[in-house]
Amino acid sequence: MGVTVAKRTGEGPARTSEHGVWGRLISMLGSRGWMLLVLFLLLLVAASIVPDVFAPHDHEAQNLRARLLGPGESSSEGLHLLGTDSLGRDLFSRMVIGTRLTMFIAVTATLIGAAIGVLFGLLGGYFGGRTDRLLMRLGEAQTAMPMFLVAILLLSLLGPSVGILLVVLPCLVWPIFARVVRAEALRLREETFVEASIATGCSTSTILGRHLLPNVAPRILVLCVVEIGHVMLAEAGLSFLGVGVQPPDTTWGLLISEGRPLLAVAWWLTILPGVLLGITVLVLNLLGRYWESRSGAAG
Amino acid sequence: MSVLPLLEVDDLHVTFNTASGPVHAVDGVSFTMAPGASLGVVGESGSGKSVTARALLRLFAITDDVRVSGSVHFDGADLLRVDERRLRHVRGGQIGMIFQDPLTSLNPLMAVGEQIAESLRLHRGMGRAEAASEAVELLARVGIADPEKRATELPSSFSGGMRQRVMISLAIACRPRLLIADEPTTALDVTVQAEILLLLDELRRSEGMALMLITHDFGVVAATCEDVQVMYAGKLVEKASMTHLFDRANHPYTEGLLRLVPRFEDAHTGRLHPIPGQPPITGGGGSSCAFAPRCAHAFDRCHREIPPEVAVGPEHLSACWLAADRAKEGTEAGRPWRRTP
Amino acid sequence: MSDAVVVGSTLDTGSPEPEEAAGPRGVLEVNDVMVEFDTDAGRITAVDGVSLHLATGETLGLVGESGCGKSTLARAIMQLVPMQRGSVRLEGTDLGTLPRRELRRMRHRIQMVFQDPRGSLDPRMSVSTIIGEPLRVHGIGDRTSRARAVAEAMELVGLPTAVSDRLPSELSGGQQQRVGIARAIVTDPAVLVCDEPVSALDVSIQAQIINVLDELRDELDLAMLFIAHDLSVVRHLSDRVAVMYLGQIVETGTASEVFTEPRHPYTQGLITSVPRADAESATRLQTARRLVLGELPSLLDPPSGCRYRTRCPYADDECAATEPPPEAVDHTDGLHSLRCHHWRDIAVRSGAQPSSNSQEQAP
Repeated sequence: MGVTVAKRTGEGPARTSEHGVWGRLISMLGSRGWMLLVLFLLLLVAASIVPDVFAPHDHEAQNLRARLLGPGESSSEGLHLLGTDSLGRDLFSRMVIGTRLTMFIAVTATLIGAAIGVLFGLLGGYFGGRTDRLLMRLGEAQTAMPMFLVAILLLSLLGPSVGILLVVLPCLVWPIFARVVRAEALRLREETFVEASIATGCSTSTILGRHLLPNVAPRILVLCVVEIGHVMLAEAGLSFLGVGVQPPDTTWGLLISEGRPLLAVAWWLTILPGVLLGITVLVLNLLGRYWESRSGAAG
Repeated sequence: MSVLPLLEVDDLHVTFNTASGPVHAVDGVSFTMAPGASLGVVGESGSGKSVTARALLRLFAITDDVRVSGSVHFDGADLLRVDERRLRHVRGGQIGMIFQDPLTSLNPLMAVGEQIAESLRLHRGMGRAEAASEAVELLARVGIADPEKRATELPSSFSGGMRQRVMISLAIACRPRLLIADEPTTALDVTVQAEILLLLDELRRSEGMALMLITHDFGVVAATCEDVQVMYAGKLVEKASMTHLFDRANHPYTEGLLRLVPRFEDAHTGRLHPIPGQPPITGGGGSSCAFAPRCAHAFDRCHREIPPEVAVGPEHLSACWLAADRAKEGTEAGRPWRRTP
Repeated sequence: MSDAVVVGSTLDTGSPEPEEAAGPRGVLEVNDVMVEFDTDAGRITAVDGVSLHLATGETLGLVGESGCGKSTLARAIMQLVPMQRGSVRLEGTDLGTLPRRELRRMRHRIQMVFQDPRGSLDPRMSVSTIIGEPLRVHGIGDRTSRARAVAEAMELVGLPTAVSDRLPSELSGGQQQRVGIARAIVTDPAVLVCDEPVSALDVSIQAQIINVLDELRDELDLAMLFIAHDLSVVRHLSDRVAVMYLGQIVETGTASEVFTEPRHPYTQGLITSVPRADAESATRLQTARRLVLGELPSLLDPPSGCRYRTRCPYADDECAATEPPPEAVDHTDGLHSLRCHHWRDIAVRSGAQPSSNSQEQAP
C-alpha cells in the first residue's frame, strides 16, 4: 500500500572529500581497513620507542662477508629479511632504528609549525584588521619564497644538524596551519557564544584559549596528521641532498640517499626505505582525510 | 452540507526513516475541505502539520527516505497515486503553496514579473505579452504599489512582507482552488503580518478558493479561518469551528495551548500555565495517547490505548478518552480566554 | 515593588538637556545613546538618542519591529558595540568611559540572555562549565563554592542535576535557554538584559522560560530589560514598556497604560496588529491596517521631522518639518510620555478591549 516517494541518495552533499582520488581511496577502505592503517601507525610508534624489540640484528654491526645480500638471503648472523648494505649491515634493522629519528623530526617540526600557525591564525582571525593583514602577509611572503632552496642554503651555510632542521622544517608548515585556523576563527568569532563570553567578562586570552582553540582543535589535529607526512617527505628530501641528517644518525631519507649510488646493483637499499616512506605518508594522509570527513559529517 | 468536498484526506501516514530510526511524522490523519473553506492547522514544531501539507503534494526533499500511505483525493484523483505529469499540473496550478521564507522559493536571478509570467504560460497557456500584463495585474492585486516597475525587479530588492506578497501573487496566478499557506507570517513583523493575513482572507473570498493555513498561533487562525484542527505528535487531536473551539476547547492539549500564551488583554496575573515536558521527537506511532505523558488529566487507559475521535458537539471532534465527560462539564478554564486570575 | 520611585520624563531629546534629574534614578541609567553603523550602502543610525532607566526589581519591556534598533541598543548597553554618543551608567559607574580591564570587572553586575539558545553556548563545554564560567573569570569563590553556586543556579532555572555533564547539543531548546539564563544569573547581577529570549522557542516551551524569568526577577530582585517583538509576552512580564521605531523611543509608560491607553499612532497600530484568539480578530486587523500605512522606510534615508510620519494616517506638514520632542501625558507624573505633535487630538484607542467601530476617528 505504501508509496515510496523518494530514496536516500548517499550520505548528503556535505562531504566534498568524497570526490577525487582521495575520496575514492577513502571509500575503498572498509572499517577493517582503517584498523589496519591505525595498526601500522602504532607499529611505527612502537618501533621508535623500543627499536630493539623489532630489530633482528644490531643495526651497526658490520659484516663484510655479508655485503649487499638481497632480501631474504641469510648470513652467519641469520636471516636478513630485507637484505644488507655495502657494509653488511642489516637493512631491516637500520630501517627500524631510523624510524625513531624520522618520526621525532617529523612530529616535532610539525608541532612547532602548528603552534606558530595556530597562534598566528587565532590572532589574525579573531582581531582581523591590521594584525590579520600583517600576519597573513608574513605567511604569504614565506609561501612565495622557495623555502626548500632557502633551507638548503641555510643548512649548507650553518652546517647540517637536527637542531637546524627543527627550525627550517616548521617554516614549511606554519602558514598552512595559520590559514586553516584563521578561517575557522573568522567563522567562530561571529558566533553568539563568543559575544556571550565577552558579555560574561572573559578576557581576550580566555576567549582565544578556552573558547576558540577547543573549537578548532579537531581541525588542527587532523591537519597535524597530514602535515607530519609532508614534513617527513621534506626531511627525506633534505637528507637525500646531504644537507639533512648526517651519519651515524639515520633516517629513512638518509637510507635512501646512502643506497642511491648502488641502485644498479642493490635496488633494495633505495627502493625499500622509499616504499616505507611512501606508505607512511599515504597512511597519514588517508587517516587525516578520513577523520576530517568523519568530523565534518558529524557537524 | 452536501457539497462535494474539494479535498478529502483519508488515513494519511508519513514515516521518515532516519539514522536514529523511523519518525512517524503524520500518523493517520483524515479530514475534508469544502470548496472555498478556510481551515487552520495548529500545532507546535514537530507536530506534523507542515509534513501533512507537503504530503498532499508529495513535496519531499530528494534525500528524504520517506513512506507515505493513505489517500489524498483532490478533485476526484488520488494525488498520492497520480503520475508526475499530472502532479506537476496540480502543483502550482490547482493547488498553490506559500511558505514561511519566501526568499528560498523565488529565483534570485529572475525578475519577479517574469517568474509569475512563466508560471502563467506554463499552467494557463498564455502568450508572452498576455502573461506579462497579467503578472503586473497580479502584483497590483496583492497590494504592491507601482506594479509595472516592481515587476522588473529582482526578489532581493523587496522587503520581507513585499516578498511574501510576491509569493502569494505567484501562488494565486493560476487561480488555484486550494491555497496552502505554511506559517506564511512567522518571519514577519506584526504590522506586516496583519496585512498579509487580511490579504489572504480577501483573496479567499474574492477568488472563491479554499485556504489551508498552517501555524502555531491561534490568533492567526482566528483572523483568517472558520475551521481549525489541532495536531499533536502526528495526529489530529481536535477539530472544530473556530468560534466553537474558543467557547469549548475540549482536548487537554488544545486547552493547554490556549492557556499558555500570555493573554494580551490581561496584565500580569501571576505565572503562566506551561504544558510540562516536551513534545515527542519521534512523532506518533505509539499504542497510547501521545499527549498522556504531559497531560494533567491522564489516567491508566490513556497510557494503554489510543483514544478515538469522539463527537463532542456539532462538527466538533476530540481525540481524548475524557472527551465526552469534558464536553458535559465544560473544561477547567471554561471560556479559556477569560482566564480568571 | 521598586524602592526607587521613578520621576520625570524617561525620554530625552536628541540634544543634550540640562541635568533634570539629580542623582541616580536607578540601577541602570541609559542617557542619550546613539549608535551608528557603516554598511555597504552607507552609514546608518541604528539607535538615535535613546534614554531609559531601570530600578531594582523592575522590568522594562522594549518592543519594536525588526530594524527598530532594539537589539543594537541592548548591545550598546552591554558595551558590545561602540556608542557614538551618550552614556550607560550601571550602579552609578559610567561603563563607556571605563578602561577595558575595569569594564571586564564590572560585567558580572550586568548580564545578558541571548536570542539563539544553542548558538550562545560554547558547543564544546559541558553545562556546568558554561554556567560556572562567569564565576571563574571573575575569580568569585573557590572551587567548592563555585560548584555550589552552579548547582543553585541550575536549580533556580529548573535544570536537573543530571544534565550538568552534557554538551549543549544534547539538550532541548528550552533546556539550552535555561543554561543561558543560569549563566547570566550565577554571578548575582544587578541587571539582566534579555534579547528576545523566547522567540526561538516553541510556544509550549516559551511559557516555561517566561515563568523562569518571572520567578528569578522576583527572587533575585533583578532589574530586567526585556526585549521582544511579541507584545503579549512583554505585556505579561513588564512593569514599564518602551516602544521603539527607527532608532527612537516613540512612547513609554507603565505597561498597563501603554497597552490599554496607547497614545502614539504607531503604538496603537502595533498593538492592534497583534492577532488575538477571539471573534473580533479580523475586524481588529482591519483597524490596524488604517493605523500603519505603507512600508518601513530605510534607515539609510530616515524621514525628516517625525520618524513615523511616512506611515502615519494623522501626519501633516508640521510632522515633516519638526521632530516632535517627548511630551508627558497629563496625570501620569511624567511616567507616560511620547513623541507626537498631534497626540492630544488622537483618540485613545484601547488596546485591551476589542476595538468597537464607534472609536474610529478619521485623521
